[in-house]
Amino acid sequence: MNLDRLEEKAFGSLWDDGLIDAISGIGLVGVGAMWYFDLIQLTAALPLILIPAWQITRRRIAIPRAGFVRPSVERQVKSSRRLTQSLAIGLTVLPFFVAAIIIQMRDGGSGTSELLRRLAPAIPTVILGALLFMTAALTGRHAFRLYGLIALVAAFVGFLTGIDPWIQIVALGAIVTAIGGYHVAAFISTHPIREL
Amino acid sequence: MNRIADLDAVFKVVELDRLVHEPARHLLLAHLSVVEEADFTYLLNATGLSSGNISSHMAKLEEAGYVAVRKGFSGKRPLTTFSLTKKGRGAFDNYRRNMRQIVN
Repeated sequence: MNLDRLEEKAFGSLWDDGLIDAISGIGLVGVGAMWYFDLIQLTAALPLILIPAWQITRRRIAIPRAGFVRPSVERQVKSSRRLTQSLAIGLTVLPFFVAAIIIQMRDGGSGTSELLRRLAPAIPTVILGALLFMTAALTGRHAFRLYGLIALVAAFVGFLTGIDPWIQIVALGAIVTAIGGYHVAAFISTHPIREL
Repeated sequence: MNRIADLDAVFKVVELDRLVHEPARHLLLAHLSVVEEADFTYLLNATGLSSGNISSHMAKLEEAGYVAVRKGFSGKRPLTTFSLTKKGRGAFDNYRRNMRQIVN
């Protein structure tokens, strides 16, 4: 019996229900909406809403169907180390995100090169794509790699056409929410609540 | 020389912990050995055993002091979680070590 595979399966059961996908998608739509309404600073509060939302929906939908499992201490240490690494990378790329916002907000991006001005609408979506790839590495949920790729495609389209970042982010969020919603529906239909 | 090696293997088989050797209990212990704790529903889904089977094997493992049972609530639903005790982990590791020696 391969214990490593059992451990991976146990850890994977935390994310297999699709709830993390659906909630991430809703979060992305929220980021796009806040961008549109010029409330981008409020995105910092999103995790304060989304993380409890994930915990509550997991307790109501996933645990009664798939059961509860607490990962091993080794896995928890590994995850927190990866989270620290991700945060470090996140803090490194944050200045680029801020720069992109500033460039976007300036009319015509005076004082910046043409290429940077054209790149600016794509940068936020690229950064969100990087976060989605990081989530894939952190959770081991492969679907997040697909979402990261979709983000890069959206960013490339943004670069070519100059579409506003909020449109790219909302579109990305809508796709992730739809895929996540499909996973949640599939999970519910294949995991009925058993009376014990 | 081979006979001595064979005898050694026989002694190893005799030394095997019968409580861990039983396939369903071994499966339950294997699942518990890779997590901090897991509940009944998780074990039901992960092992494919029936609830009656899990209940009776868990009772034996708890009686032997291999598994600790914690009863609580998740919202309004009762939540019973199982975890491997130090003794249980030792027995499981020891069993695997012995089996590996027999196989090799």
